Amino acid sequence: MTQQDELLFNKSVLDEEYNLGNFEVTGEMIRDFHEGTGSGDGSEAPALIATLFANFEGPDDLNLDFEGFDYMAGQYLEPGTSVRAGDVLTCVARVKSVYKKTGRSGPMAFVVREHTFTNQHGETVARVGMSTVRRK
Amino acid sequence: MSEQSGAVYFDQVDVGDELGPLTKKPTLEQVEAFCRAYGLEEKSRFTDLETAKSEGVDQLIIPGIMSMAYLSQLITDWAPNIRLKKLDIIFRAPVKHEEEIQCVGVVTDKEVREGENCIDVDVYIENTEGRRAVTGQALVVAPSE
Repeated sequence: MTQQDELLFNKSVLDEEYNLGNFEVTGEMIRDFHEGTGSGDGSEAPALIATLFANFEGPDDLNLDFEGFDYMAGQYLEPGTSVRAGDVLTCVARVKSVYKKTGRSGPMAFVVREHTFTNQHGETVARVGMSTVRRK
Repeated sequence: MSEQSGAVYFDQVDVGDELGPLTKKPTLEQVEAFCRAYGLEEKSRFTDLETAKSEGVDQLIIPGIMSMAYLSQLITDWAPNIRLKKLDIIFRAPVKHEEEIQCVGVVTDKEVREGENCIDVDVYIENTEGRRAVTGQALVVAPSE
């Protein structure tokens, strides 16, 4: 795999915080999470549930000039306090890097984002790093 | 090897100890429920084969975050008294629906770092053919006895 020519995108967004918004965690959402993963029950969810809100398309003005479909390439999670139904999470994100590589399947564009989620009490729920790959 | 169902203490853990396996066989219903949890209710590569094929995937696959959830569960199921501090994974291949997979961890190191009893664990998701679709590392903190 080799580094290829420069990728066109709006470089001014690099390392700039953008607000991804507020997300209310509902009991239904927690139930679906547990049902989907076959883990736990009740009204409490692991901090991991915050990753569901981590968006791999933002920010709006990234303007990545590369056609294709996005897939997850990697992810890290640093969990904080757990999440309860009714919690409202606020997410601040930033793009850490954007780069292009060429593999066996052709050129790919990678975007690495970091998200920090806090709850309505100002407690950190999770830090989530997400690397996505866009392939043709 | 420390107790899998009870408390785990730092002093009991040895390099080479294994976590799991946590066996999963994701069904369409489970994936649909997981997608609902994050508001993905329309057809997607995770729940609709035609959509998957239109995106170059020949079988239904599970969301990457669902694999993350499995590995997180592997760690938290290990013991009620340990704390997952970081989980860092790489998606190497898709995990397919109805594919039996095993989530496994292996302790690779343990040491006190900045006053915390840190345990490093290699984690992975493997199918029955031995293909590792997801690999990564977990950092776990365990109390002393």
